[in-house]
Amino acid sequence: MIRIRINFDKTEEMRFTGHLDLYRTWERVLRRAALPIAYSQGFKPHPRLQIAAALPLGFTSSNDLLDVWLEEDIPLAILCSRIQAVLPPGLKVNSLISVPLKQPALQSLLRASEYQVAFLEHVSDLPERIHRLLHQSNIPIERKGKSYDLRPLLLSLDCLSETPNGLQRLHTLLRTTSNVHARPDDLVKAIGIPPEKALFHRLRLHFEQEILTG
Amino acid sequence: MIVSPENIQQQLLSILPLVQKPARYTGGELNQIVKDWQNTPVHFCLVFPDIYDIGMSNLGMAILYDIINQRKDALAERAFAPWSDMESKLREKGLPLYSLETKHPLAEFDIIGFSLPYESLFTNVLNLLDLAKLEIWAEKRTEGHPLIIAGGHATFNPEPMAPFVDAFVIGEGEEVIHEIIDVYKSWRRASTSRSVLLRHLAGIEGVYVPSLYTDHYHPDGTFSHLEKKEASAPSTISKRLVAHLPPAPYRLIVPYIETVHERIPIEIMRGCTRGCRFCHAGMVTRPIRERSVAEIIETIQKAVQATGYNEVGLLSLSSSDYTHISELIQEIQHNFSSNHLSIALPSLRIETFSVQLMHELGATRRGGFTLAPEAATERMRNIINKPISTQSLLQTAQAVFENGWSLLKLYFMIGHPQETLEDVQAIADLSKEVLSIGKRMIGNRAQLHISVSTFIPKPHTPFQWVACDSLINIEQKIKLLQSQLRGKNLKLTWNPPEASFLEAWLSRGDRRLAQVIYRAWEKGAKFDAWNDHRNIDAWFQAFMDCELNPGFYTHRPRSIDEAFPWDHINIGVRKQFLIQDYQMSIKQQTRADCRQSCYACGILPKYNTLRREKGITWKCPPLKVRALA
Repeated sequence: MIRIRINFDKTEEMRFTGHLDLYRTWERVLRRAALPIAYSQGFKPHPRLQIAAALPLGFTSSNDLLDVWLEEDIPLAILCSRIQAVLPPGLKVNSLISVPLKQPALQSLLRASEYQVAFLEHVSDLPERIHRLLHQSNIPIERKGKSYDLRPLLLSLDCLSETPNGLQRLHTLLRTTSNVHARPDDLVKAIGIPPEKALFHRLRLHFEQEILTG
Repeated sequence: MIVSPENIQQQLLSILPLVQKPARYTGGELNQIVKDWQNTPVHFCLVFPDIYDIGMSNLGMAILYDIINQRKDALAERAFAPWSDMESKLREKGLPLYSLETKHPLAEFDIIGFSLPYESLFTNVLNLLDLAKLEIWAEKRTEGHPLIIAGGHATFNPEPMAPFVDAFVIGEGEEVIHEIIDVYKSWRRASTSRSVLLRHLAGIEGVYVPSLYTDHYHPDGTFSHLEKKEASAPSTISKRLVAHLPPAPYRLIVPYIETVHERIPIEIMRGCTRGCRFCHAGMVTRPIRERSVAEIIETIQKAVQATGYNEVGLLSLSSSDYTHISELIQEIQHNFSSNHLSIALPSLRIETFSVQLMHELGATRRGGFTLAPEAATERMRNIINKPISTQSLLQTAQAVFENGWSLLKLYFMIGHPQETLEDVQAIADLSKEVLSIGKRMIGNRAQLHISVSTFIPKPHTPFQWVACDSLINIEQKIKLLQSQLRGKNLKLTWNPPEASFLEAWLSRGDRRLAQVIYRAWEKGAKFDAWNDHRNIDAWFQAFMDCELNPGFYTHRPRSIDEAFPWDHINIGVRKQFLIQDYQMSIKQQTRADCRQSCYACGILPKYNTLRREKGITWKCPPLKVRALA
């Protein structure tokens, strides 16, 4: 058995594909590539795949990580070309490495997520809104009947230069662990902008220790 | 005002985060085909008038998408009914219904083809034409509008939808679709009027252009006849059938989101030789044509490679009747047993052999085992021509529980006018007996689901002369079953009677019903196939507004000589054969599988040239020399 780690991007075509559907999409990629996926034991065996962090519906990402367990040892170069050949629109593989079987699950090592937010409509006083937010001592957020304070989870927040097609941008680093998940759409709401007026992109994940991310 | 595809794409970015399952509206899936719009002459939009999740599992859509896109001179894109949340967003922003592939508004296509496998989609067709900002009534559309065509099992009686549709395809679409595109292209080159196009289309075998006919009625309101407006229009329209099943599509579009069926669908055969008298599909899809085992295996291989699906559905109306079923199962085991590939084999006959087949397939036990006895007494089984014995049902049920299934699902039908309360009581008794067998085999784990549907006297079947059961009777029968079939190992489900009545009105309607459909849609009827969405009051109101009585269509027996609004549609089965079969049903006489001996339904003489040329896969018995001459 081997464990491989795929560094991939989820692009525009799959923006509206949710987390569970992303799993199913990956499962089908591996089946099309005819790879010997390892299955869990039990009544209803399922393929052994782990995605490092759930990505909300409506987000794109880069440098996302997926761990896959395979029954046989196949050279990485061959694996990579077989996978590249069968990717759907919306997935792009950046690199593929082999990792120790014993390494803890990616989810458990996760500490923070870095996002970029682009606004579909011009926000006249964006720097002021950010400034005000950063000076709040707490940022109460309501999500699906639960509430949390975003402020201690907000590690950084800056304005970036505009995108090539003239959209204003933010860059932010938010705390993410296996049980805390600060969301950039909550942050956008907190500066008074409806989230559907923004595009969200997760740039990369940050882990507790230096781990191989391809 | 025309909205550009770029504009639609841009606006979707801020609409989609606000609707449920936004991937229904994005396209861009694996194996989607996007062609160059500018450089492809004919733009065809295939529309399934229900939501994406359902339409993407429709095999007819996949077949036509594949066939049209194989042509160099045409492209096919897809559209589905948006769910209510998306519909409000589109209407609020003034956006038209668009195609998933290139986001072109439907109005910019040359041909729009609606798939109509069942009648409860009719109001959605009107709603989608409206969302596409097109005229709903065919007579109001002009040269600048797309040609609107429709096909599928519900169009074997096209009359209720006739005023909305320019041309209907009667029967199988694989070949006729090419002829339609060819006629369209040469018409456009000549740039003449729309009526010329319609006349040319009417010249294609299997195409029905309703505007070339006027409907007439007797003073008592019964249907009299269709009058041709032009001498060149055909008096009857014969269904199309493909002599040989063309290769099954395997490069199937793989949705990003979960849909009704997540599997590779492969028709192992088309048609059925059992002759169940209530079964519309069994009558209209004759004759029986099979695919070879080698072709099926090869298609599965290619499709798994192209899609990555882990389930295959081997589809037909009666899988056990497929000539090489055992060999097929062995070959599947031989080729795919190490693949974590699960195989669905629906529509099995009630015999222990079926359990053996499913066992050999290594079928998952999770979804339970399904059998459709339809009736519980020998009398009713003879009437409907599904002569199985109670003993073989009980033996099969025992085999199901013995072989590892804990759930057995049984399908029954109620509401045939000759059915009595004793026949319904027999359903309850039989179900209890089956459950007690299950309990004897595996104890309290045994589960029985009873699913009851209401009989609908469908056009083109031997029961087209029969009336629907009254609401009071149906309710009484359901109550009886409810009171008897209780307990934690038993689950009883039934179709709401009003859903069956609606389907019956729409399937048996004449052209006057179009006004009712339009009124009902105006009053908010849509998604009539959805139990929580159906607005039956809108329908009753619409009938009243149009001064028509729904019971007139469904709740009176017909004399043999009453003309039907669908008599001009020739399905290849002779009316005389249906009459004879109807009379046999009254006498409780059955007809066995027609693979054994031919009952002269009419298919063979009508399509004898096709069979001679390419009909080697037909499973009808050999023709007598006289019939061939």
